Amino acid sequence: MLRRQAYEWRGIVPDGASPPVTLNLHPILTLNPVIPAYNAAALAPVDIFVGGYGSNLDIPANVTASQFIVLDEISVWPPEASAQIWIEETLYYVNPDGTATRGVTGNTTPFTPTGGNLRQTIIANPKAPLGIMPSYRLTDTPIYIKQGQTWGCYFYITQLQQTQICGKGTGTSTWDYSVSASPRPEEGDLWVPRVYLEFVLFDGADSIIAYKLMQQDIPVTVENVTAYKQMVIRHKLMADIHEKKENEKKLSDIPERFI
Amino acid sequence: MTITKQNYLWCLNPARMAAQGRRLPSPGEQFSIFTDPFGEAVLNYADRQGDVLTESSLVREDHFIVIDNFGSTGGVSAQWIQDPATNLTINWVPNGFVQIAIDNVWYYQNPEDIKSWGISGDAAPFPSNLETNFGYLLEPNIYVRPFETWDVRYVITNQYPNLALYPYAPGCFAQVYVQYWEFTGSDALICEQLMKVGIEVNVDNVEWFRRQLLLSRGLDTTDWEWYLAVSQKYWEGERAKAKRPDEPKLAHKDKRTRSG
Repeated sequence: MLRRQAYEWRGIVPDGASPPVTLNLHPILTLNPVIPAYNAAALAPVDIFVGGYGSNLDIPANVTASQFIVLDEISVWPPEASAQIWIEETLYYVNPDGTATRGVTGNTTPFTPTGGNLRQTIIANPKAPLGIMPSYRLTDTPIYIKQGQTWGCYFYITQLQQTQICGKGTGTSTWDYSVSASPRPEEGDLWVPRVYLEFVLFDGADSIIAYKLMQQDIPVTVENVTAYKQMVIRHKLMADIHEKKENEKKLSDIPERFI
Repeated sequence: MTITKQNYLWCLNPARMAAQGRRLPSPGEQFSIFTDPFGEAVLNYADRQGDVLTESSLVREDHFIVIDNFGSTGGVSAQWIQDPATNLTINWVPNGFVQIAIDNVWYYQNPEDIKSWGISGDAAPFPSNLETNFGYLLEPNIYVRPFETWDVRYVITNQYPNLALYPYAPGCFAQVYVQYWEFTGSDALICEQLMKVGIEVNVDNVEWFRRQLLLSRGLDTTDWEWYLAVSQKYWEGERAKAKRPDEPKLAHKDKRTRSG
């Protein structure tokens, strides 16, 4: 089975009394949710699956024996934050000198807040994010995560006190990630930290085909896996037809006789 | 024998539900936008205000469904605003997620292999606009075969304001939109045949297969040889297309590349 999956991490908790992490499904938020203080020092990484900040999972992401993952989209928010993919002991993004970087930033590949239902004008000077377009795409060279591998994604806030130029409303907006605070009503989700990952999950027989393609240096895409399946079916038909013809020939060689 | 592109728009209108004495779905309660007694179907049954469908979406024996895309209201924090003059809640964000269910299988799961809420309204927004990210595009499409039941389930994960003090103003506070192709009659049978030979089910391929059937009139199309010939022809066609990169892409193929 081929399924396009998405995982969205958010650095927001139900209220001021909540711990800075929630487990498994996204939590039920109160009317005044809180962006918890970023406890890790500035520039230190936080794992989005098990890092103890924001919405987490019980265990790190692990690819089972019957799965194959092709990760082809990563987005980050706010603009002055970044994300780095890791697989086993390898960090994906590196500098030209081979040292690890902090990955891609929200300015490079933004996961821009939609603004939700903010359609009323009763609030003075509502602010919305600048309409930044992604300048980086992973689609052309996706990341393969094979059976048995553990993977994850580090999130970095590269600056605890940040300023953002707004696309709507006047001027700029500021936020201090070193303290816990509720999003301001006029700004909506402008400062909610987020990482968005999108991947194709190949399951069962399709994961075996994906692995086979990878071994043969053929890009693992939905189209190629489908084409490979078509080829297998076609060749099976050829083999069956050949067998059928051979059997017919053998039968025709047997002399007819009365019983 | 028809191929139609269907769409379904669901809306949560709390003011109308309150007027009808219906309760709102609890935050964290995942429900069907087709059959559960919340909200209303907008696009198809405007005259049935406050009603949703009465029957679960079982695909009949001569139907085949290909789910193409969906979206829902975006936003995370509630952004709750009440009108000081009337105390009515005039703005509130549902923080909702869409999950697809086929029979008893949930389509979206977490990386730790357990069921997730699904795709958020920020990842797949409805209505979408130029300022929001392109987000989630369903690729490959989801096939729902005859006798399977499918469902679009939605969950709200923001709490409501105190409804006694701040009832909702009229209007939609959460929306879910789904679009899909419905193949009926002989077209549904063709979809099944395409699946058997591993060919993607889309409008172009169904029409192409129909042409092959017409061309082979009089021949026995249940033969292995015939299926091999069709598979071979499809493969050659795909190869020929790949050699002409300037050729316009088929409308239903490669949505991601098209959007990029």
